[in-house]
Amino acid sequence: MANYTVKAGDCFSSIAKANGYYKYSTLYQHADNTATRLLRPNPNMLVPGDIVSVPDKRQKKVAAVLDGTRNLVLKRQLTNLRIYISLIDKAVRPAPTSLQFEGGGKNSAALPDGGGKIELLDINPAGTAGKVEIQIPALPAAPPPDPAVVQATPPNNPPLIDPTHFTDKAPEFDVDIVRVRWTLKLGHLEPHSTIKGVLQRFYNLGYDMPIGEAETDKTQLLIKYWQASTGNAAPSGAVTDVRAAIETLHDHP
Amino acid sequence: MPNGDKKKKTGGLSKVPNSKKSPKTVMPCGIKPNVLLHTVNVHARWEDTRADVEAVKCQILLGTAVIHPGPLAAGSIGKGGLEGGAYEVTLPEVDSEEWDME
Repeated sequence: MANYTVKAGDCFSSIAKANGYYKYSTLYQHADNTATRLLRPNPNMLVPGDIVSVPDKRQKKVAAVLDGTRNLVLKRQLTNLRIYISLIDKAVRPAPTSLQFEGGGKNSAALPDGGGKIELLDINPAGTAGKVEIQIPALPAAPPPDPAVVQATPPNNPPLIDPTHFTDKAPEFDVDIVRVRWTLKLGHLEPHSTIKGVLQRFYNLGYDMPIGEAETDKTQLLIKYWQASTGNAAPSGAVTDVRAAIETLHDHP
Repeated sequence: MPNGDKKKKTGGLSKVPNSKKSPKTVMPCGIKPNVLLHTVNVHARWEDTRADVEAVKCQILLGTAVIHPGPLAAGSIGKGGLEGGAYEVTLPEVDSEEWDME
């Protein structure tokens, strides 16, 4: 038996594969890892420095069939990478177009579903780096002004600007589709029970949150802003006060 | 001299007397006559896809002796020419929770 010290990017799937296990749950559910399992209820979210016990493989033998064939079945858990992307404007449905991962994987047959989901099947869990690209349909153009309304508007001072008075050609932009690319760091997300895990979730949700092991003036300011935007009349700016809410928003959208 | 009394020249070699028995049949080394020989085969598949398992060490054992060390190729290993006995199969590099008989 050996003890493994977790480093950034590790998860139970990667540790199991590195040690010749075909199922992460064999390791995760092993009696020697009871303490780690209680501390980290999500096997995909470990914290650098955690200790994972890697026990010797348990042996067994089965009777062979003389002049026949003994059929065996091996159990394994393939690792999949699934990403959900949602926009603040729920009416706009992002269409993920590509997901690349250094651990390989096969595109799910159902992709893209247009609902913000993209998935790679049977990845190598040892990989941690990837890229995802989404396409967002352009927002519909503003409708032309209603002439009746324009005429009814009393003259302003300065006078109302009439676009038809301008003859210069407007520049053309590629606004049919907006493409957005993100760089992924798989296995680096810590549980929301840590300060870093909470700050990482804010960052993933679009806040320019400095990610560290401790709270700072800037983290408190951004958390206060977020609390106020969610209707909190007395925002504290403290990580402990938003831990559960940010976990729900980030992990269970 | 009459023809019937002619003696064939043997070049100095003498014939084996008919009274002597012929030698026993020589058997290949290690093969015992009158012993029924057997084969043992193993085939392994993945539970989820039913695909053959490749390159996983699979051993055929008789007691503590390893009769076939593996690994699996196209999901199978096999050994013939075996005497009767209580042969066993094991996957020494796979945890016991991760494989079973089918």
